[in-house]
Amino acid sequence: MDNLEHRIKKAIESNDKKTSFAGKEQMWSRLDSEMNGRKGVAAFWRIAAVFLGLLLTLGVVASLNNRAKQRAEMENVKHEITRLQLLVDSLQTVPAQVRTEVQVVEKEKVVYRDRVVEKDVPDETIKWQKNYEDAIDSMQALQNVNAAFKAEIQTLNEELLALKNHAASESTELPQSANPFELKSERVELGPQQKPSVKSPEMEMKVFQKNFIENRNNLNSTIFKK
Amino acid sequence: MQLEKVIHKVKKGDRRAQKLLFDKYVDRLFAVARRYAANDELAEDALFQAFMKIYTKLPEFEYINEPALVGWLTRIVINQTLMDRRKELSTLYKVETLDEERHETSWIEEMDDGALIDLVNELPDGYRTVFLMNAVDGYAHKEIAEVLGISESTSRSQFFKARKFLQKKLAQDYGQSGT
Repeated sequence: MDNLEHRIKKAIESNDKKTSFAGKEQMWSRLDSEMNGRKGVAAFWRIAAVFLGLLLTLGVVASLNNRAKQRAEMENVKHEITRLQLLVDSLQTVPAQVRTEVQVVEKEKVVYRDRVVEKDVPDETIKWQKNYEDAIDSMQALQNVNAAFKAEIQTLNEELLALKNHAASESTELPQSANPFELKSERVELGPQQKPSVKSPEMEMKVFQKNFIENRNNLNSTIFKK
Repeated sequence: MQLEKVIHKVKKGDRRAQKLLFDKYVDRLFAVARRYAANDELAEDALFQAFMKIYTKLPEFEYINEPALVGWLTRIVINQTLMDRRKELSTLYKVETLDEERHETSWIEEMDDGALIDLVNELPDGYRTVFLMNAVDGYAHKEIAEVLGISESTSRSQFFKARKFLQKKLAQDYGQSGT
């Protein structure tokens, strides 16, 4: 290096050492605020990024769960549809049946009775009271039905007894009038057809009507006019 | 605290270590900035920006010794100071021309530091920058060319022109010149 340059370098280095920067503190405060501000912003974005990442992760997990749930529900629905389809198919193969039900409804008799209604009683007590009253009503209805049945049985017994008596009386009468006619095989020579004539005025042919409903078989009173 | 530990803590973002580093080098770096800036105000702005860069880029810096650290800091300050003046300086280099004449001086050793600095400050901007970068801060012409956005030969010629200018001025002011 040339002498001039060397000398200038020395002079400048010497001058640099003497130099003192007056605005040192101001510059440091500027630098400090700038760097801390940047740090603050960086920290904010870091936290925001973490928070957003967390939200994103939660969203993804929730959507996956929801999807799995929906898939399971779809499977259940498909299963149910298949089951119902099978049921429909099986019902279509069964022949139609008509079932008739006869329902006998007894006419209810309205029963009035005095009843004490307590106030400010617990719900449980009211429920028990209602059940008790219902049971009493049911028992009363059953007693009525029972009485009706008993009466009917009595009537039927009486009718049965009458029928028995009647049957017994008829069975005693039968041997007296048994075999009033005796049928004998006989050869008859038929001559030329003649107008029928009543030989005996006591005997008369009776022609029964088509809708003859009389069930009495008293031939003496029907065929013979006695 | 050892400088290496301070640097390590600055890299980790320790505020106290940052302040220590700032206090230790701010004066020297301000002198460097003022050397290349057009005025003190611009030098201060450049220094502020340079410190921001220093704190940002320090994690990439590997500490070897203090001279290496000072060289690194100085270069950041110079680059930052010259960044705004790059366009202005590149036009200067195209316009100005001087003869490449070498003069040797033997009496310069006895000259006053202040007078020498004043003499350097009298140099035109283009010459002064290249001259200071090469002669004082140890930049090679290739590096100067990269920093200033000029060709290496331009840097070289600018340096010699600056040198000639100084010699001429010395001859005029002090009536002496040497070969």
